[in-house]
Amino acid sequence: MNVKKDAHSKTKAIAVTILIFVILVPVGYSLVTYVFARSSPKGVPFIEMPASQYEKCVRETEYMRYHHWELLQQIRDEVVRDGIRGDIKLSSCRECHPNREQFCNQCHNAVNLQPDCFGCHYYPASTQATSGEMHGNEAGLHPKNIITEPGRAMGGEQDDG
Amino acid sequence: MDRRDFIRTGGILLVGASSAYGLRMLAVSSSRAPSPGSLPTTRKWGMVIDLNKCSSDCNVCMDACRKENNVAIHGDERWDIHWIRKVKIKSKNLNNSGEKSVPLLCNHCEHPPCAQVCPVQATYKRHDGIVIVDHHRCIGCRYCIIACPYNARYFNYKENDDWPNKDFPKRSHGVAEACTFCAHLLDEGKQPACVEACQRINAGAIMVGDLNDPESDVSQIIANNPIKRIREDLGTEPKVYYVGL
Repeated sequence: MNVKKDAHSKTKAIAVTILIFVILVPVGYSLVTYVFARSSPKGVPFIEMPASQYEKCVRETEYMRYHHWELLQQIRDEVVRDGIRGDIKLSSCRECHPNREQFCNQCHNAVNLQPDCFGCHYYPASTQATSGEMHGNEAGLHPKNIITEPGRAMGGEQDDG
Repeated sequence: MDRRDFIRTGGILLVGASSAYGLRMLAVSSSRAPSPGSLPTTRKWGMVIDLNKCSSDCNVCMDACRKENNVAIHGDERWDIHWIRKVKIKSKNLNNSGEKSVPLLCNHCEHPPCAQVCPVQATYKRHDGIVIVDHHRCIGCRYCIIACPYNARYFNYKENDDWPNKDFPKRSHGVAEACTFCAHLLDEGKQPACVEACQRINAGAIMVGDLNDPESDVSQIIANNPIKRIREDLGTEPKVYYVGL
């Protein structure tokens, strides 16, 4: 009788421990990562401020920060499908923000986005010729391109030259 | 107020409120401006190629097109892309030597079979008659390549490494492409790259102009010369006219 009771309480104790771990581990993990993310300077994108002949951007900074892709997509549809070519182009972004590494990628990397605009639209990753450091995602290539053609990925190509 | 009255009053109020809301929606939808794509345009681009002025050993138009539009060349005919290419035609019916070098390109048909078969409307005819691929939308099914009776469409089997014209985008691996009449230049009031190159060497064999304008050079040549279009029997109404074919 005593033995049976002991076994029962032991099982109960193990179950409670496992339950506590199941709850504590993810909560603890997120707490730790949150604290690290708070303390690291990577949480602040937009290091590079534009230096150019223009006084201000085509839209307000807050709009461009959170909705620039909507503007770009709207312009894209107007240009490609209707042939209406206005003043705003992706290439004219380069005039104020020449360095994609310091500008676009700061935020795209922070939110883990790899838009494939730059596989076809020219936007240099860095203003210097030291583009050998960039890898596929930073070059704006879709990951599928890197997997299907490893020999032609941006990294390998740069090693040759 | 008993229960019946309450339900009746409530129902009347509900219907009234919803109909008022519906009226407002109707007013909004009727006052919406028409989209720019549906705006009528008077222009219709067309091309005239004078084969009497086109020499068989000249590839200036092909090179200019390649440079302007970043057309891929991999050195392997399976993957090479040509927006404009020259073929030799031999026939007894031809006037002079029996052999002609004919530049072939997208005919920008009035009834384009490529646009009809495209399952995602990536290929479509612009309001000025140019048949164009929206590469953002293309899924790479290659229906258009099969449908085109002129073999003017090409598929990007590989990523293109060359990028001679940085102001113009290249195409990524997995989309179809064809001649656009250099729509980006025509929209800015310039001439397509092949036309400009042909004029630069003083050949002037290729011309692009407005077919709807009877005074334009293109319309004048079409009106005053015996012209031919390729495979007119198909009813696609191509807009590339050949003189001396």
